[in-house]
Amino acid sequence: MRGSLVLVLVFVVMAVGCGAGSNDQVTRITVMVAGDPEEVEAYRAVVDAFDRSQEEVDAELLPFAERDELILRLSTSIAGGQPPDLFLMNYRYYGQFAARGALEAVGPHLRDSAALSSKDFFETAMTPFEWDGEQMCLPQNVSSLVVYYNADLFETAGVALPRDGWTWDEMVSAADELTRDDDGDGTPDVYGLGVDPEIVRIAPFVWSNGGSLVDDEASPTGFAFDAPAVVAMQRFFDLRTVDGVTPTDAEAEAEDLESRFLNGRLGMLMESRRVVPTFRTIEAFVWDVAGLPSFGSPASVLHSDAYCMTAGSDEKEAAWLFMEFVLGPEGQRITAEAGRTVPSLRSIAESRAFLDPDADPAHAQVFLDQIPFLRAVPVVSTWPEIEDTANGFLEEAYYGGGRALEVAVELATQTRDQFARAER
Amino acid sequence: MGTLLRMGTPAIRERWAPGFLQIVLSVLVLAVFSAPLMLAFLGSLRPTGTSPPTSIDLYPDGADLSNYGEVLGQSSIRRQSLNSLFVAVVSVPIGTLVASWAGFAIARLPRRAAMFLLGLAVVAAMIPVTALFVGRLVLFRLSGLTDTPVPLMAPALIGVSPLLVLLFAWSYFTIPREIYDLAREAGLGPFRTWWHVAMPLRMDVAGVAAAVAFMISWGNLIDPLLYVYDERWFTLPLGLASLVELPPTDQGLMLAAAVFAIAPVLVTAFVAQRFVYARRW
Repeated sequence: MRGSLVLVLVFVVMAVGCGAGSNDQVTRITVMVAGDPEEVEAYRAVVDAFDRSQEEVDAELLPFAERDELILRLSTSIAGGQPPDLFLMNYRYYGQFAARGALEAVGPHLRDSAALSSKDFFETAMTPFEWDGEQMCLPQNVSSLVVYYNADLFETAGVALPRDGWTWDEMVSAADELTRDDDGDGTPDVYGLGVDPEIVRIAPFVWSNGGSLVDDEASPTGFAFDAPAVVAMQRFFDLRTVDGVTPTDAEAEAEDLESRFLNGRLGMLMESRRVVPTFRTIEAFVWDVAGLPSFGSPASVLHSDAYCMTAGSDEKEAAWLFMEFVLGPEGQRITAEAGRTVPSLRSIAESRAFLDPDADPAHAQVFLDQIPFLRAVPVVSTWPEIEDTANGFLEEAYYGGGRALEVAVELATQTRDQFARAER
Repeated sequence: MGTLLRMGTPAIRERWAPGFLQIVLSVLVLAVFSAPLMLAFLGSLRPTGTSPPTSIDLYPDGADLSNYGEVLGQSSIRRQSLNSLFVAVVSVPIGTLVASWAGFAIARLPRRAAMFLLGLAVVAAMIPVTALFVGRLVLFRLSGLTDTPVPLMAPALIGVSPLLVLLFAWSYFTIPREIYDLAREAGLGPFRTWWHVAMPLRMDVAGVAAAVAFMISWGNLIDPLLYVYDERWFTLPLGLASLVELPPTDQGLMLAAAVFAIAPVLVTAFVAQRFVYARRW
């Protein structure tokens, strides 16, 4: 049995060898983020800048490709007693961790901080990260849904470019004129508009029409689409089945909307700020952004991620030091220059780092102009499940010609249990 | 020992001569299963930064191998590949050895005890992997191993997978009892019987098991995702996963990385099939 002894020895030596070499003088913290390689590089640049800025704390990035991977890892590590010190998470997803007491409130740290103040941030991005009246996480961005458009296609079709405060009807009319079938095979080669049939895409139009998504925004007990909400939802569904200005299900599956826009075969695309670095590679045509069209009152939906500190972190002071840097002017400037975020810090959002006139989109100011009209979807612990359920029904109705009234009733029924289990 | 070996081997090895139908079916199966790989390879030839195709495009305009250069030029991919290789080099021999020992032990136990252990292995194989996430993490955390690659190799200590243990047990069951009796009469203990008799007679099974162990280790995404806290020890599946999120203009790069990651598996499968056809099953 000498063989087994050798095996055990090999493992022990490896365990000791691989774990050796850490410097006890430096406090080490771990930061989990999720994103594509370019996004991760932007986070890495901030982490490296932080590590260079001082010698006491060594921050290490733990990057994941997708949000689901990060959530799986985070949930396991919290349950297993070894959570990261910090992680970056959208306001729609952090509730499940706040509800089980896995987060350290950053409010007290913020109040004692000499480097950061809550007044420095856009309030719109701060509020969704409040839990039980306390600031739980600190936002790094205040993005929103906007309309990206191919200016060359507008010019070719002789259609006026989107103007500030344009209406839904104007958008549909423009999309209709941009939609064209060049080869006469009955299938449009260029579509006027692309939008994913998801609850976060439909919500701003519900609000713009004076409607509501849920019965009580502060403590929702279920979806409660009223008459204006149903009207807005129906107009959204009509884009595909009545107006015919958006790609069919099969076409969207064959070529995603982002690719279709890159290929110059989509007049407009509703998306958040995240596509800007990819769109900056476009050389074949001129593109820009416009605010969302409205049904009357302007509205858009908040897209915001925040750094959250875990309650199980052994290095909360070091973690806060990191947050002060990454959410302060220097950190936000580095992140903003990567192009993907709309900074949550007013001073950086209004600076050249974000509004660089030499960088596309030319009208980056649109993102800032929308901030006063941004609203957040409900922040409850079961929102990820609710969103999954809702998106399934919305996709079916959007591509299959469903009626908004029936979908509204179905959504309220199918998500009742998920709302009932929700904590806020 | 020579006599024992000869007794366990078929005296006359029949040569396997495939018929026409078998060849046609084999080609069809090969075509179906190799199509994704071929598409991945052709897609990998599309230079980075070019717009994605609007229809099926078998041979991209401007096709070249530049994506492979870029993939191999990325220090993170190189490091992750070496990590994956290191993990496989350590865990495959250990895992195969442990599974072989466990299978041999089961095969040599009295029938009732062997059946009980086989049942246990089947139950173990049926346990959802998600049920073990937290327990394993706690184990690794308490052992102070989460900053090391050891969690990625640890499954080797239990034979990688219950399926490998079952495979070995089944193969050792098929060795005639008389051979074991002869070995006992020759004064061989359990370990020497395994080493001099059972293992040489079932080297083909060991080869296949090692290949399966390699594929499990090489393609393991969940363990590094959950148990490795030091990015320097991230393995290739995590690197590949990060490339999946590349924008549509860079799909060629992701596909080149995928082909690069699949290549060792193909080589392993090729080597393993030599073991499969080394004797009639």
